Amino acid sequence: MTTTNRSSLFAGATALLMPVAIGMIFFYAPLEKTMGSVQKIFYFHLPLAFSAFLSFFVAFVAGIMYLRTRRQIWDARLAASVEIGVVFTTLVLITGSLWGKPIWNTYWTWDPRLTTSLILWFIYASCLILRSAVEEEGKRATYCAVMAIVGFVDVPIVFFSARLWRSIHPVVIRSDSVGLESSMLITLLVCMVAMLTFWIGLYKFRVSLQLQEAAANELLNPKN
Amino acid sequence: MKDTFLIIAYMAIWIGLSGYLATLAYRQKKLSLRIEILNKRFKAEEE
Repeated sequence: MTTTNRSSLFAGATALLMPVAIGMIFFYAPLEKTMGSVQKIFYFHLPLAFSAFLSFFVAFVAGIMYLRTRRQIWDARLAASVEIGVVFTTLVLITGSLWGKPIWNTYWTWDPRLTTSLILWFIYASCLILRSAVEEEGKRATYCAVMAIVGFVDVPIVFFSARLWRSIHPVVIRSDSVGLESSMLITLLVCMVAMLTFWIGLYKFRVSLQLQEAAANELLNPKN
Repeated sequence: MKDTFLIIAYMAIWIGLSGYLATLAYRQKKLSLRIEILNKRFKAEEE
Protein backbone atom coordinates (compact mmCIF):
# COMPACT_ATOMS: atom_id res chain seq x y z
CA MET A 1 0.00 0.00 0.00
CA THR A 2 1.44 3.40 -1.00
CA THR A 3 1.68 6.38 1.36
CA THR A 4 -1.01 8.27 -0.60
CA ASN A 5 -3.34 5.26 -0.33
CA ARG A 6 -2.69 5.02 3.40
CA SER A 7 -3.35 8.77 3.78
CA SER A 8 -6.63 8.33 1.88
CA LEU A 9 -7.55 5.41 4.13
CA PHE A 10 -7.05 7.54 7.24
CA ALA A 11 -8.85 10.49 5.59
CA GLY A 12 -11.82 8.19 4.93
CA ALA A 13 -11.76 6.89 8.51
CA THR A 14 -11.62 10.49 9.79
CA ALA A 15 -14.57 11.47 7.56
CA LEU A 16 -16.56 8.67 9.21
CA LEU A 17 -15.39 9.18 12.79
CA MET A 18 -15.55 12.99 13.05
CA PRO A 19 -19.34 13.32 12.47
CA VAL A 20 -19.89 10.50 14.99
CA ALA A 21 -17.68 12.30 17.53
CA ILE A 22 -19.45 15.64 16.99
CA GLY A 23 -22.87 13.93 17.20
CA MET A 24 -21.88 12.32 20.50
CA ILE A 25 -20.62 15.64 21.93
CA PHE A 26 -23.89 17.43 21.26
CA PHE A 27 -26.50 14.65 21.54
CA TYR A 28 -25.04 11.95 23.80
CA ALA A 29 -22.71 13.56 26.36
CA PRO A 30 -24.64 15.18 29.22
CA LEU A 31 -24.43 18.87 30.09
CA GLU A 32 -21.92 19.51 32.87
CA LYS A 33 -23.68 20.92 35.97
CA THR A 34 -21.45 23.90 36.86
CA MET A 35 -19.87 24.86 33.54
CA GLY A 36 -22.81 24.15 31.25
CA SER A 37 -22.47 23.99 27.48
CA VAL A 38 -18.99 25.56 27.34
CA GLN A 39 -17.53 22.38 28.93
CA LYS A 40 -18.14 20.66 25.57
CA ILE A 41 -15.00 22.43 24.28
CA PHE A 42 -13.15 19.85 26.39
CA TYR A 43 -13.99 16.97 23.98
CA PHE A 44 -11.72 18.49 21.33
CA HIS A 45 -9.40 20.50 23.59
CA LEU A 46 -7.94 17.37 25.23
CA PRO A 47 -7.56 15.26 22.03
CA LEU A 48 -5.86 18.24 20.35
CA ALA A 49 -3.44 18.56 23.29
CA PHE A 50 -2.78 14.81 23.28
CA SER A 51 -2.13 14.84 19.51
CA ALA A 52 0.22 17.83 19.93
CA PHE A 53 2.19 15.89 22.57
CA LEU A 54 2.30 12.91 20.23
CA SER A 55 3.66 15.17 17.47
CA PHE A 56 6.43 16.45 19.70
CA PHE A 57 7.27 12.91 20.83
CA VAL A 58 7.57 11.84 17.17
CA ALA A 59 9.75 14.93 16.55
CA PHE A 60 11.92 13.97 19.54
CA VAL A 61 12.39 10.38 18.24
CA ALA A 62 12.95 11.63 14.67
CA GLY A 63 15.53 14.13 15.96
CA ILE A 64 17.50 11.40 17.73
CA MET A 65 17.27 9.11 14.70
CA TYR A 66 18.39 11.88 12.34
CA LEU A 67 21.46 12.65 14.44
CA ARG A 68 22.31 8.94 14.54
CA THR A 69 21.68 8.02 10.90
CA ARG A 70 21.71 11.38 8.99
CA ARG A 71 18.96 9.97 6.75
CA GLN A 72 16.65 12.47 5.08
CA ILE A 73 13.50 10.50 5.95
CA TRP A 74 13.99 11.33 9.66
CA ASP A 75 14.31 15.02 8.89
CA ALA A 76 11.08 14.83 6.86
CA ARG A 77 9.34 13.11 9.79
CA LEU A 78 10.68 15.72 12.18
CA ALA A 79 9.56 18.63 9.98
CA ALA A 80 6.08 17.12 9.53
CA SER A 81 5.51 16.40 13.20
CA VAL A 82 6.80 19.79 14.41
CA GLU A 83 4.53 21.64 11.97
CA ILE A 84 1.47 19.58 12.92
CA GLY A 85 2.35 19.94 16.61
CA VAL A 86 2.51 23.74 16.34
CA VAL A 87 -0.88 23.87 14.54
CA PHE A 88 -2.47 21.66 17.20
CA THR A 89 -0.87 23.56 20.12
CA THR A 90 -2.15 26.84 18.63
CA LEU A 91 -5.67 25.38 18.61
CA VAL A 92 -5.23 24.09 22.18
CA LEU A 93 -4.26 27.61 23.35
CA ILE A 94 -7.16 29.24 21.46
CA THR A 95 -9.81 26.76 22.66
CA GLY A 96 -8.39 26.91 26.20
CA SER A 97 -8.69 30.71 26.22
CA LEU A 98 -12.25 30.55 24.91
CA TRP A 99 -13.10 28.04 27.61
CA GLY A 100 -11.34 30.10 30.29
CA LYS A 101 -13.20 33.35 29.63
CA PRO A 102 -16.69 32.27 30.83
CA ILE A 103 -15.28 30.01 33.60
CA TRP A 104 -12.30 31.95 35.01
CA ASN A 105 -13.52 35.32 33.75
CA THR A 106 -10.29 35.85 31.83
CA TYR A 107 -8.90 34.70 28.49
CA TRP A 108 -5.42 34.28 29.92
CA THR A 109 -3.78 33.86 33.30
CA TRP A 110 -0.15 33.02 34.10
CA ASP A 111 -1.10 29.64 35.49
CA PRO A 112 1.67 26.93 35.37
CA ARG A 113 -0.21 24.78 32.80
CA LEU A 114 -0.98 27.73 30.53
CA THR A 115 2.49 29.26 30.82
CA THR A 116 4.33 25.99 30.12
CA SER A 117 2.01 25.33 27.15
CA LEU A 118 2.80 28.77 25.73
CA ILE A 119 6.54 28.09 26.18
CA LEU A 120 6.05 24.78 24.33
CA TRP A 121 4.39 26.66 21.46
CA PHE A 122 7.28 29.17 21.34
CA ILE A 123 9.93 26.41 21.33
CA TYR A 124 8.45 24.55 18.36
CA ALA A 125 7.32 27.69 16.50
CA SER A 126 10.93 28.88 16.67
CA CYS A 127 11.99 25.48 15.31
CA LEU A 128 9.78 26.18 12.26
CA ILE A 129 11.28 29.66 11.89
CA LEU A 130 14.74 28.11 12.08
CA ARG A 131 13.81 25.66 9.30
CA SER A 132 12.92 28.48 6.96
CA ALA A 133 15.93 30.60 7.98
CA VAL A 134 18.78 28.11 7.44
CA GLU A 135 19.39 27.34 3.77
CA GLU A 136 21.96 24.57 3.99
CA GLU A 137 20.09 21.26 4.22
CA GLY A 138 22.42 19.37 6.57
CA LYS A 139 22.82 22.26 9.02
CA ARG A 140 19.08 22.96 9.00
CA ALA A 141 18.24 19.35 9.81
CA THR A 142 20.87 19.14 12.56
CA TYR A 143 19.77 22.38 14.26
CA CYS A 144 16.11 21.34 14.13
CA ALA A 145 16.89 17.85 15.46
CA VAL A 146 18.76 19.35 18.43
CA MET A 147 15.93 21.82 19.05
CA ALA A 148 13.25 19.11 18.87
CA ILE A 149 15.19 16.93 21.35
CA VAL A 150 15.87 19.76 23.81
CA GLY A 151 12.35 21.19 23.37
CA PHE A 152 10.77 17.89 24.30
CA VAL A 153 11.87 18.50 27.91
CA ASP A 154 8.91 20.90 28.18
CA VAL A 155 6.30 18.22 27.28
CA PRO A 156 6.40 16.34 30.62
CA ILE A 157 6.62 19.71 32.40
CA VAL A 158 3.35 20.77 30.69
CA PHE A 159 1.73 17.43 31.57
CA PHE A 160 2.73 17.47 35.25
CA SER A 161 2.51 21.25 35.80
CA ALA A 162 -1.11 21.13 37.01
CA ARG A 163 -0.22 18.28 39.37
CA LEU A 164 3.07 19.62 40.74
CA TRP A 165 2.23 23.29 41.22
CA ARG A 166 -0.84 25.13 42.42
CA SER A 167 -2.95 25.46 39.29
CA ILE A 168 -6.50 26.44 38.43
CA HIS A 169 -6.39 24.17 35.37
CA PRO A 170 -8.44 21.01 36.04
CA VAL A 171 -6.72 17.60 36.12
CA VAL A 172 -9.04 15.05 34.49
CA ILE A 173 -6.82 11.99 34.22
CA ARG A 174 -5.32 11.10 37.60
CA SER A 175 -3.15 8.11 38.48
CA ASP A 176 -6.02 6.36 40.31
CA SER A 177 -9.13 7.54 38.45
CA VAL A 178 -10.64 9.54 35.61
CA GLY A 179 -12.79 12.41 36.83
CA LEU A 180 -15.54 11.87 34.26
CA GLU A 181 -18.98 10.32 34.11
CA SER A 182 -19.09 7.14 31.91
CA SER A 183 -21.02 8.77 29.02
CA MET A 184 -18.57 11.71 29.05
CA LEU A 185 -15.64 9.29 29.09
CA ILE A 186 -17.04 7.30 26.11
CA THR A 187 -17.53 10.54 24.15
CA LEU A 188 -14.00 11.63 25.01
CA LEU A 189 -12.58 8.28 23.85
CA VAL A 190 -14.46 8.49 20.52
CA CYS A 191 -13.16 12.05 20.02
CA MET A 192 -9.66 10.88 20.90
CA VAL A 193 -9.80 8.05 18.32
CA ALA A 194 -11.21 10.44 15.67
CA MET A 195 -8.46 12.99 16.34
CA LEU A 196 -5.73 10.34 16.33
CA THR A 197 -6.97 8.97 12.99
CA PHE A 198 -6.95 12.50 11.60
CA TRP A 199 -3.45 13.05 13.01
CA ILE A 200 -2.06 9.86 11.41
CA GLY A 201 -3.56 10.73 7.99
CA LEU A 202 -2.26 14.29 8.23
CA TYR A 203 1.19 13.14 9.33
CA LYS A 204 1.53 10.61 6.50
CA PHE A 205 0.41 13.18 3.93
CA ARG A 206 2.76 15.84 5.34
CA VAL A 207 5.78 13.47 5.38
CA SER A 208 5.19 12.41 1.77
CA LEU A 209 4.81 16.07 0.74
CA GLN A 210 8.08 16.94 2.52
CA LEU A 211 9.93 14.12 0.73
CA GLN A 212 8.47 15.03 -2.68
CA GLU A 213 9.40 18.70 -2.19
CA ALA A 214 12.95 17.71 -1.23
CA ALA A 215 13.22 15.44 -4.30
CA ALA A 216 11.89 18.16 -6.63
CA ASN A 217 14.30 20.72 -5.14
CA GLU A 218 17.16 18.27 -5.64
CA LEU A 219 16.25 17.89 -9.32
CA LEU A 220 15.80 21.63 -9.88
CA ASN A 221 19.01 22.59 -8.08
CA PRO A 222 21.29 19.55 -8.33
CA LYS A 223 24.33 19.51 -6.04
CA ASN A 224 27.66 19.03 -7.73
CA MET B 1 -23.17 33.66 26.59
CA LYS B 2 -21.53 30.26 27.18
CA ASP B 3 -23.02 28.95 23.92
CA THR B 4 -21.30 31.79 22.04
CA PHE B 5 -17.88 30.73 23.38
CA LEU B 6 -18.63 27.11 22.51
CA ILE B 7 -19.56 28.05 18.92
CA ILE B 8 -16.49 30.30 18.52
CA ALA B 9 -14.20 27.54 19.89
CA TYR B 10 -15.56 24.93 17.48
CA MET B 11 -15.36 27.40 14.60
CA ALA B 12 -11.72 28.10 15.53
CA ILE B 13 -10.95 24.37 15.54
CA TRP B 14 -12.54 23.70 12.16
CA ILE B 15 -11.23 26.86 10.50
CA GLY B 16 -7.76 26.09 11.87
CA LEU B 17 -7.69 22.46 10.79
CA SER B 18 -9.33 23.01 7.39
CA GLY B 19 -7.10 26.04 6.78
CA TYR B 20 -4.03 23.92 7.45
CA LEU B 21 -5.34 21.17 5.16
CA ALA B 22 -6.02 23.75 2.43
CA THR B 23 -2.44 25.05 2.80
CA LEU B 24 -1.08 21.52 2.39
CA ALA B 25 -3.32 20.91 -0.64
CA TYR B 26 -2.03 24.16 -2.19
CA ARG B 27 1.57 23.08 -1.59
CA GLN B 28 0.81 19.71 -3.19
CA LYS B 29 -0.68 21.48 -6.23
CA LYS B 30 2.36 23.74 -6.51
CA LEU B 31 4.62 20.71 -6.29
CA SER B 32 2.69 18.92 -9.07
CA LEU B 33 3.21 21.97 -11.29
CA ARG B 34 6.91 21.98 -10.46
CA ILE B 35 7.20 18.28 -11.35
CA GLU B 36 5.38 18.94 -14.64
CA ILE B 37 7.92 21.68 -15.50
CA LEU B 38 10.74 19.28 -14.65
CA ASN B 39 9.24 16.60 -16.89
CA LYS B 40 9.00 19.06 -19.80
CA ARG B 41 12.58 20.18 -19.20
CA PHE B 42 13.89 16.60 -19.21
CA LYS B 43 11.92 15.76 -22.35
CA ALA B 44 13.30 18.84 -24.11
CA GLU B 45 16.84 17.91 -23.04
CA GLU B 46 16.37 14.35 -24.37
CA GLU B 47 15.13 15.60 -27.72
